[in-house]
Parts: sequence; structure tokens; C-alpha cells
Amino acid sequence: MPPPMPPLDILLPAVVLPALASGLLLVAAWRPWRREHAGAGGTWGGAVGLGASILLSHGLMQGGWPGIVPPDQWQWLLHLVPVAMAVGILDASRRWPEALRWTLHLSLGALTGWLLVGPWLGGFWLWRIALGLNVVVLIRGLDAPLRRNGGPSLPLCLCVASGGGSLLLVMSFNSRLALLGAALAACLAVAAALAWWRPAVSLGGGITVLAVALPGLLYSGCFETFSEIPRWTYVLVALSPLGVWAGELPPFKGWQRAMARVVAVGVITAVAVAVAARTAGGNLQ
Amino acid sequence: MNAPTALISIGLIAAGLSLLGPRPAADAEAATVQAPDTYSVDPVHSTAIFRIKHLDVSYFYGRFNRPTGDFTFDPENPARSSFDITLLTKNIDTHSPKRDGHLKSADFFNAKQFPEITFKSTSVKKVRGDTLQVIGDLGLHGQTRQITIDLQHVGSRDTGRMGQRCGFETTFTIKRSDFGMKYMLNGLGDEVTLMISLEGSKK
Repeated sequence: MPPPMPPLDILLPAVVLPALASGLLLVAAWRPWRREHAGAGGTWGGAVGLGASILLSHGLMQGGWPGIVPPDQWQWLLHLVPVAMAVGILDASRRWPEALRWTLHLSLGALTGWLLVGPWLGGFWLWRIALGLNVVVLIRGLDAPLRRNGGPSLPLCLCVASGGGSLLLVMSFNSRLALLGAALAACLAVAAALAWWRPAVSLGGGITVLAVALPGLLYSGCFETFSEIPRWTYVLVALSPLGVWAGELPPFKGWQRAMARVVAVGVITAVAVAVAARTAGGNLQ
Repeated sequence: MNAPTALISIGLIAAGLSLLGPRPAADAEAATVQAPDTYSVDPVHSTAIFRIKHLDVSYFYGRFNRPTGDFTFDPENPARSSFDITLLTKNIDTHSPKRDGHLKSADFFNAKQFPEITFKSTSVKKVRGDTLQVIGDLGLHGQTRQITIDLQHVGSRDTGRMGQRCGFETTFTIKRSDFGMKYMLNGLGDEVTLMISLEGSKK
């Protein structure tokens, strides 16, 4: 039995309004009405849009902001997202030397692992390394597909992964984290629609924000739940965006490539969500 | 006065003075006798219930199973009493395992990161009859706030087979938002009333 939909008075501030606001930011950055130059120069749009979706979702849902040192470990994510936005905008603004990019990405991964995994967790050093590597692998792994391919398939893949992550978090009783994931997925859906209209637009630095936010939400949900859902399912969804590499395989060209990407990410996410649903037996009441 | 007589005289005077002066050993013995009794909370016969408003239409009740801790109680001098009580957040019980899972998650108690709710008294005084006013630090969700509670001494007696026992009860209300628990404030009330009954067995 699938989990029931949250009521509108929760979805409206936590998902719908942040998605609309972040969608407007994407439109402002990409200016898709300009047929010839849509997306040109709007490389900051992806980072700002995706980051805003999460920050607005939390702000509207909670009606406030945690302190500089937040009480809950996962709330460090709200400090990490602006950092990821800054790194993403910097990264997308021009071609930096690879050594500098690697340094930035590794630092961001290390910071994410350090802040989101508390010493109260058993085996926390291993989890810090795993989360940090997950962030770096996503940033680096999505870099080439992002630069090589335009169109809606990449944002759609990331929307599927974020949506699947949100479902997994609902089933693990973490509804607040799930709503943040849903806001991210909704923003990516808007990005996919805009990219379908104007294939030249690019998520750009938004990849960096997603690479921090998606694993950040999933690992936090994994650490702070008492559900029996296997931990590997969270990690699988956090890595599922790498399924876009299926589109790089030799037999695929053109639309087949886009289809292969979406199917690969969808299947990986679906497997994890199905296992979680079976374990949880349909949750939240 | 020859030398032996002088020595005996000095000895007698010294013995007399020692009888008149303070007796430290005897005083220490008296202090030991008056030390307040220390009790360990019996988790099986102690109860921690909470009440919270649901959707602004009804009160919902739940409990934390197996409270633990220690307290000392001096009926003659209540100011010498102290209370150190712990509830484990993983022991929350709302007769619905799925709801318990949600309450233990990061949405509410975040029980993995914050496994304990603690109360440590800082001062105790008698206010009327068998009621004590206890000021102490309540630790919840990683934040500590000073609260003041009225604690009723229900009874104390030697129960025979179960030894010397002593019991207290209190009811007090806190705001969960004061402790950073702000999720779903529109659906679940901000004010939480705790009803705690402690039974201690003398150590």
C-alpha cells in the first residue's frame, strides 16, 4: 500500500510554493523566451533555483531558521546548501583549472560528510567518508553528461532520483526530509519542462547543489530512522543519478540516449523504493 | 612538687580538658546518621505519561516506558533532597509502532541523536504539606531549560519484602517549541503536559 499523500496545507508551503519560486528563478536566469539565446549566460540559474527550492521549503515549513549551530545534525544541510550554491556558481561561471575544481569538490564532499554525520552515530568515520565520496562522485560523475548533452533528460533523471528519495524518506518516517526532497524534485521538474522547451538551457552549477542535497537528505534519513528499511537502499538512491551514464553506451543515439538515461535512473530508484516499501510494509498514517 | 607528681597532674588536667572540648568523631557520627536516604527509581513501578492536543480538537496520551534515575529525600530537611531522572526517547509508546517510529525520527525527538530526556534538580524546598517545589534543568532534544515543578510526596514506608520505598508524583507543562521541536505545530499542540509518578527503592 503506498503511503498516503500529505494534506494540501503541508504540501503548499513545503513543496508547491518553493517549486514555483525556484521555477521563477530558473526562468529569470535562463530567459527561455529568447529563441536564439535561451540559456546563454544563465549558468547560475540551476544552482540558485535548486538551492532556493530547499531553503524556501524549510523556511516556509518551519516558519523560521535554525541557529548558527543547529540542534539537529541534519539541519547542517541548510548551511551546506548555500555553500554548494556558491561552489556551483563558481564552477559553472568559467573553465577553472581541473586541480582547482578537484580541490573545491573534495573540500565540499569532506565538509558535507563532517557536518552531517555526528559522532553519536556508530561507525561515524566510515559514514563520513562514504557521504563525502558520494558527493564528490556525483559532482564529477555528472559533469561530463551535463556538458555533452542538453535537453530535458538530465533534469528529468535527477527529478526521478529526488522523487524516489522523497518516497524512501516518507517510508522511513522522516516526513520533513521527504518534503525537502519533494521540493527539490518539483524544482527539477520545472527545469525539465523548461529544458524541453529550450534544450540549450543547462543546470550548470545546480549539479553541485543536487550532489550535496540528495545524498545529504538520504543519509540523514538513514541515520535518524528507527525503521527497518535497509541502509543500502538509501545509498543506492543517492547514487542513482549516475545511471545517466547508460545513455553514453555505444548503441544509443539521439532520443534513445535520453530514453536510456531516464530508464536507467528510474529502474535503479524503483528497485530501492520497492525494497523499502516491502520492508516498511507501507508507512505513515 | 616532684617530677612524677607534676606529670600525673598535667595528665589529669589534659584528660579533664579533653572531656570538656569538642568531640569531632562523635559529630561525624551524628552527621552520618542524618544523611538523606537515596533511592533508585523502580522502572517497573514508575510511570511517565504525556498529553498533547491533536488537531486542536482532542487530547492524545502517550507514555515513556521504564523511567530511570535516582533521588534522595530528607523529610526533615527537604532542601537536602535531590532528583536526577531520565527518560529514554526510544521508549516512547503511543500504542502504534508506526507513529512511534515517526515520533522517534528527526521530525520530533530525533532519538538517535538525542537518546535521553533528563531532569536534574538544582534546588528543593517544601511549599505546603507534602508538596515540594523543585527547580531543575530539563534536557530535551539537545537543549536544556530551567523549569519549576510541584512534586507531591505520595508516601514512604518499609514494605517488607520490597524494602524501604518512597514515591512522588508531579504534573507539569512545557512548550515543545522551547526545545526546538517545531514540526507540525499546527496539527500537534505546542504545549505538552507530563505526568510523572516515581517509585524508588532505597539503595
